[in-house]
Amino acid sequence: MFNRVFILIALIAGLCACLAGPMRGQETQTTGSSALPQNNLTGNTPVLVEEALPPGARLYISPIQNGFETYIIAGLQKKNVPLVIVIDRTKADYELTGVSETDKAGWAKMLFMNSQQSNESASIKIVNLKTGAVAFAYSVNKTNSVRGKQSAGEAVAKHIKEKIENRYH
Amino acid sequence: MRIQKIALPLVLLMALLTCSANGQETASMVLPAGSKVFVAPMENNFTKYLKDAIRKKKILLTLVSDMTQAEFEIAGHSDSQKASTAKKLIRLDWHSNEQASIQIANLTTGTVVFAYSVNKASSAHGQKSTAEACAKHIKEKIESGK
Repeated sequence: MFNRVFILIALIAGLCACLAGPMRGQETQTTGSSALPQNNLTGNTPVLVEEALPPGARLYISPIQNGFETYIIAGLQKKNVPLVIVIDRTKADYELTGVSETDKAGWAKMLFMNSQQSNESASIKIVNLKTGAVAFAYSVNKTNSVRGKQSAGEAVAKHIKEKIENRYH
Repeated sequence: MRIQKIALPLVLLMALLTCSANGQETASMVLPAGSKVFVAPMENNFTKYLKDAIRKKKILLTLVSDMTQAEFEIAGHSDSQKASTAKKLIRLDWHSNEQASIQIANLTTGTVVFAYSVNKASSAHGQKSTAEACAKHIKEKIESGK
């Protein structure tokens, strides 16, 4: 009798250990998708949706002008953002799209401002590919950017990290 | 007794599967020494500079020209801004501004294992400097074993 109980407990423990990984991912994803119905009007009051961006999510970054996507990926790596970057969109949970613009210093800026640094602006959005909801969006504008596109890419990465850690306001 | 004989191997197998799955996730982020790497074409002939830098820094990677033979792919972007007349006259500076960004993707798993960006204002050796900066950090990644 005691043996049977012991075996049953061992089996349940083993099953739990196996399912622990995938279940964790599902939990975080359900948090995001469960927030979706809140988009509907409750009575007459509209409710603001906050789609989650869970750590460990698989993110695909679609090509952006001037190769800005590679600067974002480098920024994500530098800032240790807990996301898995994939190169195949079909393997991704989320997709990052955006635009980027660079304004290089002209002769007048060099002469009057004594500056050869460029102005950078970029805007991105992250979409949950399953629900279609926008999980995060951010735009950055850097006048006289010290490190050009690298600065803008790292600013984007920093705010994505804040979103994952629920520190973004 | 018979149930016990079946149950115990089952539990062990489940635990083993869990461990191996976690191990695979960690392994997919590693860039092992001796890997076959394909360098994808980039703007301003940066591919050539990067290949030269990889050889110069003696990085333990095998460069292949055929993508189907490769385990990893290096893709990226490079931007070079040559010194304008204004810069030469006003700042007395002939050097170009360089920026580049690269990513290394594991072609088997489809994940990006390494990425790096560099910006050099008034770069002493132009694109060569940025390519060598990229190569230096690739070497660090390989040697870290993470």
